[in-house]
Amino acid sequence: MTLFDYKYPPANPPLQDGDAPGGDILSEDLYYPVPQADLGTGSLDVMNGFLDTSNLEATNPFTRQHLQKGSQSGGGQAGATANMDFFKDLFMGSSLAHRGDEKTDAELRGKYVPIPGAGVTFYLPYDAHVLFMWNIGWFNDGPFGQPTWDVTDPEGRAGFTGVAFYDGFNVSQLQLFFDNGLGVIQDKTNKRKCPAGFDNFTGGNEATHLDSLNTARYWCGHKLVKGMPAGQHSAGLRLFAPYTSYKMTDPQDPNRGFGHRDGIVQQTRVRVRSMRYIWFRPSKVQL
Amino acid sequence: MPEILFTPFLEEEGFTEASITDRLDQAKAGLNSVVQQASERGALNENHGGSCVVFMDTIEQTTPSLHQATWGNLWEPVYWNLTNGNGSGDGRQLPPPADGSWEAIGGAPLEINFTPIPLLAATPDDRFGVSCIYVMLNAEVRYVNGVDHQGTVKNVDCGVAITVQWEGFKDDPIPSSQGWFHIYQNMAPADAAFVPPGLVNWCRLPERKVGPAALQLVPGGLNNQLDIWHDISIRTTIRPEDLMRAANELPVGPLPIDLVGAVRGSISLITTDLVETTRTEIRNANLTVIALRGTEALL
Repeated sequence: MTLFDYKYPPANPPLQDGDAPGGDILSEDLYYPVPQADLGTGSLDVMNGFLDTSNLEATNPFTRQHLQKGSQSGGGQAGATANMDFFKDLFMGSSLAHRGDEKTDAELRGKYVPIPGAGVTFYLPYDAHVLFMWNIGWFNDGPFGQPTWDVTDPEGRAGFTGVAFYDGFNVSQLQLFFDNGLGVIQDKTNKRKCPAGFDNFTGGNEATHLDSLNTARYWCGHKLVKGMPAGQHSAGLRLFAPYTSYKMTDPQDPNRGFGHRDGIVQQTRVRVRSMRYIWFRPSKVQL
Repeated sequence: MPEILFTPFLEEEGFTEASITDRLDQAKAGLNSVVQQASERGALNENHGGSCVVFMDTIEQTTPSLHQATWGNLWEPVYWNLTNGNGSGDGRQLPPPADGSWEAIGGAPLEINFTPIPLLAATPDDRFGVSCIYVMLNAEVRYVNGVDHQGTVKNVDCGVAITVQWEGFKDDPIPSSQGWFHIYQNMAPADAAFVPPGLVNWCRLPERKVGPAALQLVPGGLNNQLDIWHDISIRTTIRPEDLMRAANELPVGPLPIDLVGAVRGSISLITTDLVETTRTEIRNANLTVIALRGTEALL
């Protein structure tokens, strides 16, 4: 809007000295809800929501104190500290099947289990950029196979044969979901794995101890979702740990078992976790 | 000028053209030059005015990237270590600019470019000031391994270093790049002439390192893959003093670096004379850059 002026500029007719101006003329200078094309330009009605930057005094602008809480950004968080165990029954018959045919998000989506304390639901009052940040620590009791130098490369790189115990069969995997998986699930980026925690699984021996010192993992992740629409949303970390009846064998000798196991990851322990979100009202025009 | 002023009509003052025009003009003048005192605190909501966001963007690497470097190959992202009395690296970097070579993470660079932003640039004509740029980087290191050319398995002699770098621009008057810079610990006045930062008292604030798991090294070979799945998370800021320090760091002498125009996640491979070749796979990574108005917003 340009600077406002009256419908009847007082210095011009019909308002003249000695006249008896009609009430309608004075009234329309004070309040005249003009047609849309002229909104705010014809009377003191300009105060009713039609002032804009052209009406601001240039050297004495508003400050942040004039802004309502939440008009620029907002946020919240959730967290938990108690250890939480996720047992094999939750993932019965599931495998990441990493050897060349990694399962799709659609196949795995329903197998992930939400982690209490690592998820939030929130309401966006307007379209906004939303920054998610989380922290989590976790480990599992999967069998840690000592690698041999000719193990299979899980992704088919040359020069590998055999079985990679430590990839796909014994990892506990976390992934970020938002809007219950109805939104975009990043297949690669917002995913982390924890290697197997049972050590000394070699030479046909059963694992002897849980080595969480070296194999526990933490993940301090983040994701920026630009242009999230106004409304109710959710975001959280979910866990998946493969559990099958796969029998591990020695890659050097397929007929030699490493001990029959009816599962791979029996248990995953999640430690301290939290999930935070901050939304920012986006710029209409970015610099 | 305080709030809108309006001279009241006096008792028996005539409603003349002049008196009425005067009052109406007072109101018009006030409404065409609204000052901050004219509005109550909290009068403005999200439907009024602009945003505190000057720039915000993110980039994600979804395809694994392989990074490899060999001791002494300057064109590769080699992390130059100090050497101890035995000629072996001890993990600390040399002073810049001889502090190694870095490259962007990813096959496609994990890099965000934007219209160069000045820091602390609030002026009456441009009343937003970005006091710092906030950067978040996550990278998943799948494995780190190396070739032990001397036949001595020694894990500590290889690793991967990851950090955040920013690209500085000189506004003269069209922004021109002055190169990529690190973020150093504030151990010296920002406007001081650049002095090579000694051996131990300067460090890159956002730098993080990961070493290999056990049994990673094999004499003469580079074919063992022990997945460690380590997440590297970096949260840092690019501050005005970083621009000052970077200007002083340039070998040609102090030049003004006024703007920040790009941010990237960078990687360098730690090698030594014992483990000459180091290799890593960055399974995935994501980088976010946030620049917010640090001074009061003009609405």
